[in-house]
Amino acid sequence: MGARDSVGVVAHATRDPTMAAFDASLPSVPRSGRGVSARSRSDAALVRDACRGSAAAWEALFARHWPQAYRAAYLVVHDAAAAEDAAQEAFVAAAAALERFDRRRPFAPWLHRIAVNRAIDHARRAARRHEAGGGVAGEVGGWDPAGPDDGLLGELRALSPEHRAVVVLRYLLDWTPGEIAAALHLPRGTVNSRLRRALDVLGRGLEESG
Amino acid sequence: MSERELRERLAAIELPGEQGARGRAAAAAAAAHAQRPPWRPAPARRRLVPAGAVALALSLSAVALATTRPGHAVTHWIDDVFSAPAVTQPRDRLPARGSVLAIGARGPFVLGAGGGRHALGRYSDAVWSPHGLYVAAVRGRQLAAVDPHGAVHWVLTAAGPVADPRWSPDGFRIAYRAGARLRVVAGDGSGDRVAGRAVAAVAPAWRPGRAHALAFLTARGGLLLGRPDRGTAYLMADGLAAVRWIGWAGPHRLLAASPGTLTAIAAGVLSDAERRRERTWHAPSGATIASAAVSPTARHVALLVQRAGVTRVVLLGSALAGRPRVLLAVHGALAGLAWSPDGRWLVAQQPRRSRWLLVPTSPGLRVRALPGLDGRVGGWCCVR
Repeated sequence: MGARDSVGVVAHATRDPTMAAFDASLPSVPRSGRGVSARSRSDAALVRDACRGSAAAWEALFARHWPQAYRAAYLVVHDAAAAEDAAQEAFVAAAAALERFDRRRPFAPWLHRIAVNRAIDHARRAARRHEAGGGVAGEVGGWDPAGPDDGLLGELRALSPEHRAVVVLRYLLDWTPGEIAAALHLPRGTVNSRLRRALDVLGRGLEESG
Repeated sequence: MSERELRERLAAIELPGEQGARGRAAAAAAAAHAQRPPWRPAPARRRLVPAGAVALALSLSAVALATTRPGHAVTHWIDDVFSAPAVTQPRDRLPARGSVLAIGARGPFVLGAGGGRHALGRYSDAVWSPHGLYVAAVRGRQLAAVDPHGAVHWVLTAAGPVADPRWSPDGFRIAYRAGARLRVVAGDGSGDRVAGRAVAAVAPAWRPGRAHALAFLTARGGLLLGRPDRGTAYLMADGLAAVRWIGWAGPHRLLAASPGTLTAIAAGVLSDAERRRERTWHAPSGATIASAAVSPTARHVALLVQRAGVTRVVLLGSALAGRPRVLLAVHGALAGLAWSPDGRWLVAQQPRRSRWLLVPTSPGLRVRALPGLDGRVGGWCCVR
């Protein structure tokens, strides 16, 4: 007797063409028995093994790149929960797209680009809440006025999310203006002008605050 | 400030919440990685055995298998593997840690990881507290807090029939419906107060976090986000009269299920009506969403989708992007749906067979059945 009789499970994919559009069989994940030394292996090798199903390789990539992804997201969005969401979404999106990743390219910029773009989205949404909701909506907004009281962090907060993103990509992640322009879909001149303005504002603010 | 100094200071800022976030994100990232499609190596360039010989051998094997009684069973097994998820023999133990709360004809009961059961009394509905230390149970106009062994800690009596109790994430508040009103009481039974009037017959949903923010639906289809402690509330969205379930997928996204659709709503966006509803997933024509549950990591939502006498357990990303996966399809109805605390299993009741089905969300595991269980699943909690 087959499992269908004893359990009542049906062969849905073949009997129901409409539902079959989103039916999919449960995939199996191959297990790699090899241990992974995060320090000794390149990102490309870890990505290759993670593509093949190695949980250890994926964990090593996470451990290597989480701190910078979270830092970049936080410095853009200035809210711990939103930064967590943005960085986490970057890893989840990266896991889903590993096969499409070109392993000849570096992994970190790909991941950071996702995290920073998600952080910009979060920051824009939070700004809309803050402006539109008045007193009541402000209570549930994502801004974190009680965050760490760092002079530079305070001055960064005065910039728009888009300006903060440019600063973070340039001076935290060491991207070139050309790479920033490509990632944020901006003209290169706009990137340079935002960098100049951001540096002016940060420098002036820090001088005034002593 | 020089560029070099700016680089050093950006790298040195101490950030709040990083360690906790890291732990949560590690679990979510690992789950996302585990749910990728299987890796398939590139096909070999040189065949060691001619394809025709392989096909002939397989044909002969199939004939030999099908003409013997054991062979008959094997072909059934092969057919099942390719047509539907296999189900292991019934077991009496949960496959993950924690305890399941269920509501049976004689009231709620708790099934422990080892298979032991504890009846909680004659209540019509019940839910876990966030850490599994208590259960909020209702009957008639009464709301009670009982422990997992059935000992009653407090009872309050409302003006109208009580339904849909929901414990806040920190355990300090319980929201519940009393007639057409939404009320909130402290976890120790004190401070009972009205939090909303003319509410719909839909369970409210506490927003993740410590802020005691609560989403609920009005009878006219308005979705409100309230702060009962402060007596404030504001409109998140409207036109949701058909919604039958709401649940948070993280602090910034609320999911709302109506019979035919599942909609993701950005929390708190007031000014732009188009952006309130981030995305909507439409069930196939004629299909109905019977139940929904958000995963412990908030990265996924599981649905029971019914159509033409068949119920499917469907897994979606909580952003409602990407392709849904059908984890299981069964004849007849399934009732209730809950995630295991580790996010690796879903449990639902199959009333026609008087049992629960345990459906793995990760690859490599088989569906399991727990026989002799008539209760509708109310929740699976917690690893203490």
